[in-house]
Amino acid sequence: MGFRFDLFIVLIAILSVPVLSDLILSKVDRRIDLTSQVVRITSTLKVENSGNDPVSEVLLAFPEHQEKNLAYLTASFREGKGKGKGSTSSLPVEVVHPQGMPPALVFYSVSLPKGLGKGESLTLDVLVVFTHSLKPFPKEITQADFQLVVFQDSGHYLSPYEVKFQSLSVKLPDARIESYTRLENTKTVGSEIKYGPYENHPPFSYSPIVVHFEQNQPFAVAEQLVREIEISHWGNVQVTEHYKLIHAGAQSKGEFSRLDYQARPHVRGASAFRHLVAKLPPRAHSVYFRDEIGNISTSHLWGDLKKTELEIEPRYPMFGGWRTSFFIGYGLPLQDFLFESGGKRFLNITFGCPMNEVVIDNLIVKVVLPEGSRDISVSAPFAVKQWQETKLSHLDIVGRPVAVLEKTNVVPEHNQHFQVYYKFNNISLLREPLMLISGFFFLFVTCIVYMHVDMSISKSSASYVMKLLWEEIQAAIQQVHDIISRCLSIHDKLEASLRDLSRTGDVQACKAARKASDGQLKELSKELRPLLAFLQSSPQAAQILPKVEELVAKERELQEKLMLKHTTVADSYEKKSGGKEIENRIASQQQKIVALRQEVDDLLDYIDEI
Amino acid sequence: MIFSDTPLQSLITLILIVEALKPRISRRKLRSRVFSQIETVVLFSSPQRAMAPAAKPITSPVPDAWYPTLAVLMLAVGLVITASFFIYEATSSRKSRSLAKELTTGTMASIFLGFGSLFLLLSSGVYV
Repeated sequence: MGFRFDLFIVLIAILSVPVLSDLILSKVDRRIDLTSQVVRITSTLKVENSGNDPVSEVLLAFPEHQEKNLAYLTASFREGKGKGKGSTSSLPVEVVHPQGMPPALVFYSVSLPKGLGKGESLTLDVLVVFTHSLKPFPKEITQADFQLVVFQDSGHYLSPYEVKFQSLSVKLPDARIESYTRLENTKTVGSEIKYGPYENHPPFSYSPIVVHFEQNQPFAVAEQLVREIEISHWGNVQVTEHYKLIHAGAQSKGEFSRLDYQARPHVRGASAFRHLVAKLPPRAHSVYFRDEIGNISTSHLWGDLKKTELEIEPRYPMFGGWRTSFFIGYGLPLQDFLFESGGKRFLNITFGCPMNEVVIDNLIVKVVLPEGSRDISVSAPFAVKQWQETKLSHLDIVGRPVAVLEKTNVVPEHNQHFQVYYKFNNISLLREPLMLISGFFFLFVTCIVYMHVDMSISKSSASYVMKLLWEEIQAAIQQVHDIISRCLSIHDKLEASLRDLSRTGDVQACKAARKASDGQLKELSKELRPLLAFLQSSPQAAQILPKVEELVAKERELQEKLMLKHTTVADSYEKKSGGKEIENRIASQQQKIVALRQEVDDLLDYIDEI
Repeated sequence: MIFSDTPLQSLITLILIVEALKPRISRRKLRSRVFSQIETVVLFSSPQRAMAPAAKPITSPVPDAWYPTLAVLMLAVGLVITASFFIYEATSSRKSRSLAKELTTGTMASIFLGFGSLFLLLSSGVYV
């Protein structure tokens, strides 16, 4: 019962306090929403300046024991008169420590955009979110019991200013209300408890109220959530989230009967939860849901243009005090989240957890930027602890820079966008393919070196010498092969000139072609002579030598026959004899030429295969 | 209020028409009402919130849809050049080998194989 002592302190403090500034809250409307595990208090304050000096800040007070559970606080003021929805803008809020205030109170100061002059009034909307404020009472329940929780706050608005008119409405879930404190003017309307209206209360008036009610909404608390966001400039943002979940409601005692739970889940296990729904950005792909054991297949995914919804079911239903841990991963298209402006690139992505109504005790967000990023800076809409690390991932040389953000006590209201700015040169994108290219090139160089380097141990052994000789012979044979191929191509050219002759009838050109080919063939045969001499001199080539000589001889024969045919055809054209005559004359020669050509080709192939 | 992918202009025209058809109110009130609605529409129709106005989305230098095709093509070309490199190595004798030809073939083959394997990694989901 620690809270009773704090209340005592606060009550004492009320009696010994000076009046602060000249602001008066002329109307305070408070709505406490207890329909989920997170307590949301929306207060509409009408602030009036009854003094002479303009005031530029409004103080909000919270008891210390309540303030340590405070997760989120925004204040905004409504412009425009009347009930219409004008534009709202949020105001900067910070913790202050004014002097002369009662102890055990924490003050937040809301700075007004322009000072509130004498006699002016202003409407402020304040939203405060508390976590872990619903305390389960009884602390331990069996599977069949109801989960009852206790919430305590002040019936009168705790403020350093005088409150003229106030009302409070507590919204409870549609379930049993066990008991609640009755002050004056208290009534229940359905599942709402209305306190008030109360008039003319002095500053720091505090009257504790306690509400004891049944709450069956899932008490999903992530003790630790690590979100890793990895950016790849080749087109993907990969988000991996590691959860350690606990059911933070009333502890489950006694045994768990699966039969009872499955037969009647709403009677035996009303406070347990099975499903968690996460809202991922649209166009999320490659979504996976795993834990240490492996893949968990109880999940559903459906998406539309606005969002992708993922409903997951951990391996067992969560009862009070039970824990589970798993991780979720998904990929997002790069162009939805990475932008460029003013020479810098920035990533614009949500900070908190995408799951509905999950409170996170310790949230760590790691943004992994590609190698080669410089000048990293983070801009977040609320205070976070930041530092930098490195991570070694695929194709990395030194590691990728990681910007780490840490925050405690995170609620779904924190799921706003934050930006990470950095500089990156597009040329650094080539670093990855260059690494792969150099890897492959190293293999090729090894191959070349192996072929070139002489790695035999003894340089004078007989087998080594023989090997060298054999390589020289091989080189010679290759050259012979080249020369013969060139000869054959000249033969083909001659044949082509003959065909040209039959087409155009230009005998002079034909004769010129024959002369040129003649000259080339003579040169080639000159080149052939030293090679043949070398082959004849080496004993190792004894096997291959006859074939080579045969090849050379046949080629020469072919050459002569072709020349003969060419001259006959050219002469016949000069004499202007008919086509049939020419055909007859060269018929036999043609046959032999064809046969010889075939043999030469066969011999060439044979030599090639040595 | 429609805030989805309909073009902004047609939406604003729709708002103007709807406002004009409402019962007659003073011109000043009509203008302020229309402007506030346009503001809400503009605020909710842009998918990016809380951002600098002149921000350009960054995409990959090579379109995503090309990754598998590019991977196959580049690997095929790279393997063909590798094959020609090894054929040259096997059929040439020590004397007739030319280091320049070997090195160029090796470089070309490694470039194509490098890019091909990069696109292969990207198309199979390992975004390096």
